[in-house]
Amino acid sequence: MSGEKKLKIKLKKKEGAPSAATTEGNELFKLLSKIAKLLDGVDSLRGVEIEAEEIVLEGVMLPTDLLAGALRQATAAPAAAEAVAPPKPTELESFKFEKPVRSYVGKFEEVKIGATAEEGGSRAFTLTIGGSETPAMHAFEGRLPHRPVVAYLVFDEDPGLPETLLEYYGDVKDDPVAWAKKCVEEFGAKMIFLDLRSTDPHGTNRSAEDAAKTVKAVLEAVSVPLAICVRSGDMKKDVEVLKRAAEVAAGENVILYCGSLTLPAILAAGEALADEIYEYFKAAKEHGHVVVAYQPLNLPGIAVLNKAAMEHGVPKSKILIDPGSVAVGYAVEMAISAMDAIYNKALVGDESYQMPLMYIPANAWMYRESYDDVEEWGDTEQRGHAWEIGTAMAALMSGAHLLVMLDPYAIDAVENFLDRLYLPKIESVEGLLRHLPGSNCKACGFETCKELADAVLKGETDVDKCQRLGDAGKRAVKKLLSPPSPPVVESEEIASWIKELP
Amino acid sequence: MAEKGKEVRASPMELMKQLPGEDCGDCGFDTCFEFALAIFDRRKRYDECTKLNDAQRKALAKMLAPPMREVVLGVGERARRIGGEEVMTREELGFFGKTVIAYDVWDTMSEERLRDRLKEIYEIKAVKVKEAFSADAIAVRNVSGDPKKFKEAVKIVSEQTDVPLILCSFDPKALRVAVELVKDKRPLLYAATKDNWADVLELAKKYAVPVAIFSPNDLDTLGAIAKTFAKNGVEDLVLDPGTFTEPGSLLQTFCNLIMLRRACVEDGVKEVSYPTMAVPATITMTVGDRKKAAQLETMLANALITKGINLVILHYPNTWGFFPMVMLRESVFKHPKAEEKVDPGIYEFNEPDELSPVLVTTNYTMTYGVVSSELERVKVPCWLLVVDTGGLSLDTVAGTGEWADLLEEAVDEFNLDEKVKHRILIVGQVVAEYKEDMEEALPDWKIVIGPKDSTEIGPFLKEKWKEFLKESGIEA
Ligand code: SF4
Ligand code: SF4
Repeated sequence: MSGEKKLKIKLKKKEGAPSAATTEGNELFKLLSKIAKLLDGVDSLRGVEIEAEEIVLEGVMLPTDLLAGALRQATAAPAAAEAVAPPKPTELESFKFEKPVRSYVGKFEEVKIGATAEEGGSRAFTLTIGGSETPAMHAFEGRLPHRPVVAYLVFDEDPGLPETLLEYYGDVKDDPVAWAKKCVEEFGAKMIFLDLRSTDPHGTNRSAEDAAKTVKAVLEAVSVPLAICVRSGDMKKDVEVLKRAAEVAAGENVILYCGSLTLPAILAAGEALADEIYEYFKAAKEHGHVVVAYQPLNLPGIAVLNKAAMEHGVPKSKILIDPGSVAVGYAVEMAISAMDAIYNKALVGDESYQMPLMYIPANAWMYRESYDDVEEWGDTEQRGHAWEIGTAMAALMSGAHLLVMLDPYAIDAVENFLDRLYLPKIESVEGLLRHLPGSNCKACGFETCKELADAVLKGETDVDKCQRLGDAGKRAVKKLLSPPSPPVVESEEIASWIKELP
Repeated sequence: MAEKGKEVRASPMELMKQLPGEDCGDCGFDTCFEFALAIFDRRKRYDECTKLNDAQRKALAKMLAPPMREVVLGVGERARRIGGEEVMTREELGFFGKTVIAYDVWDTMSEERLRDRLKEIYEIKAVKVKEAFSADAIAVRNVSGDPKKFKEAVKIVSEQTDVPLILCSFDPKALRVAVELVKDKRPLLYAATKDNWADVLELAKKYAVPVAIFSPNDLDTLGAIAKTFAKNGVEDLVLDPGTFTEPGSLLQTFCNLIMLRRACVEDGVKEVSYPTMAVPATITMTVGDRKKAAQLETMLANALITKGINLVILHYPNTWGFFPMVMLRESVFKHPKAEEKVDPGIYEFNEPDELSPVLVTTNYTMTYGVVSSELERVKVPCWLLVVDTGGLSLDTVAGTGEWADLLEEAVDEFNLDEKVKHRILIVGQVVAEYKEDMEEALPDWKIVIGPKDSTEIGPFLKEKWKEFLKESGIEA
């Protein structure tokens, strides 16, 4: 080769905002490969001057070492410049994830519901809720000692149940005793939340005395812990009903829920509350029950009720909070924020907010989205289930300790979720059934999934008999039948999800 | 609470210094200072100011950069911006990177089945007041293991849709042919793993597309891969610590996601300061029944949305599940300071006169929205009395026992009796049981219970209004 070539490249900076969508370095590499082509056949780079005053890259900042590396390769092996690439990293950077753990000075109170014979009641068992030492699901930094409880809502008169729910309760909707029994015996309810709606003075207006009879009959019919609820909007009547109910349920440690407690419009310190509120506290205290501070989306109001209850002799361990159980689509974000705020206060030690939280996802059924046949909204039945389940999830993820639900299908799904979270040992047929497909396809040789569940629990057969469950499903069921302790998380479980989804 | 690495946010005053100070009103605020307050609590984005110069724009971008990177998936109108989070609970400031809801398709489907499935996915929708929602993204799974098949599937999908694509394969060869095909559409590569990261990094660099990092239950490796990518100039990352759903594992799924977020927003751990994602579809592997699997998947997605996860991939497209899911998402990601309420007052629809009906609603945005859009639609002249319930819906306020009083106050305050000659109020059915209370509070007025459903308002007014007037002795 003879003669010297002098190459001069001048690049101008491009104006305008950087665009994230540019192919970083691509333009430069193209340019370099062009240079390389020009250099093809040049045996010496002496005299080659690359004068790059400014670089056009649509505002993308190019690391200088990238440029240097590329230039090195381009000049060293100009013929291969088409494949120019920066040095490829072969080792991962080192990184250690430090668990972002906090310590909290406050924690939620533990509240027991129900009383056994030894404790002066007649319940077969008691339930304890609350006790959280960290925000919801933060198990990496503290204890969430008690699995949230799901109570079955039972009405003492038909509230006008939609189709989807009539499927389950059509035969018992006019008889609260039969209704409660069905929930316990057929669906495995662990708590009954009895809504005495027939006492509503704007409705059937049944007397406190009548309501008390219902309470007594339900207590006799089922042996699970009980909650008694009135929410007519009429504080006077509601408290009258609760007072009678508290008497007949004396010693049973039930939850007395009043949805009509009205506070003064302006809350001044030390101001007296309505007489009914004090009567409500008194009834709970005298007969050993649990009260609920219910003020929808009103934190100061909740604190006022909590403090007043404690001042009037209701111990902190006998108070719950309902922050306002709104459904998905109806300002549920305000309830979520209220619960977030309660947790933030409770965990830093504010005693007026350390009572366990209850939430009523069953309220989802008040809205037409859960029951109206509207074609554009998709399958009505599934939508109804999903609406109550979705509301329950919003509450659970925000730290609710007690959920009150209506739809047995939805409750089953939520319990299924809780089983996955808490890994209990499953010993009941309904407990196992909720982890089987429920298709009743008979392929296992049993008439129904329930029969298979029964046989599995008796040790007569194995869940591998189910033809519908995949490997993951069988593994899940086995974990629940004999829970490994401590629970193990195998990355294998989902390592191939891309290929393995059904 | 410890705030190790949390960066201090710029104050409204500091932001103000970077605004033009022209008080021109283009941004919708009367003054630059109001706009400064709005960008401070992120009700607005700084680029909504029309008068910024480059230096100001840069300065604001820097001052307002949230601890979690914002990542854009897709291009054009259907592009979605995720991440940008700053807090653990929405109560503290708000959640911002609205969960992208994606549904999957896979490459072992016949072309016909694939097209049917895409159709099924497009047909999902949800309507909230006037806003319509549909699936945000489509994930294409490489089930065949064959790059060619994957490419074909991606081709069909990309021709059919303009939503962001998620290319799911752990095989870099498959990812390469697929991304080559749709490189201009900014798809998300799913995923870089401890085994394939070097090749996926090359692809991400070459095509300048965002990448998800999948490191099941191993946050050290997750961070290490992210750190390596960032060091090599690839910073549009999404973190997937794995969606374990089996009993005893599910809790870990949430713990991992929560820990990542906290390390980012509270402790300033740059290596993991990216949006997070989950695949609720994994729960369907444990179920064995379609209907049930669909419900459980929806349930898990709702749980993840409540926790502010930025992207979820689902397996069962259906409207019945999408509808509540979107409602929840819109709620969780709504700015806490966004107007929750409309101003109370008397609103006119379709030029009403003194004989036109008066409907009553609350100043809760949703209730008002539903009723007002219906009134606009049916074109019946009428008045709408919006009662101040502090932004609560009619259902909620009904239970407090205060409705009748609030209604009375509104009738009085807004001088309704001067607007109309008749004395008839049409109220929603949810407060029907308080009819007596209302009549007591408003003895001069007749209370009429309206239809149960807002879609019946039109027919109700058209058919019944004249009768009501006649009954009260007024001839129309
Ligand atoms: S094979 Fe499985 S799904 Fe079918 S009936 Fe038996 S247990 Fe149920
Ligand atoms: S658009 Fe910009 S300059 Fe105009 S008022 Fe708003 S912030 Fe000020």
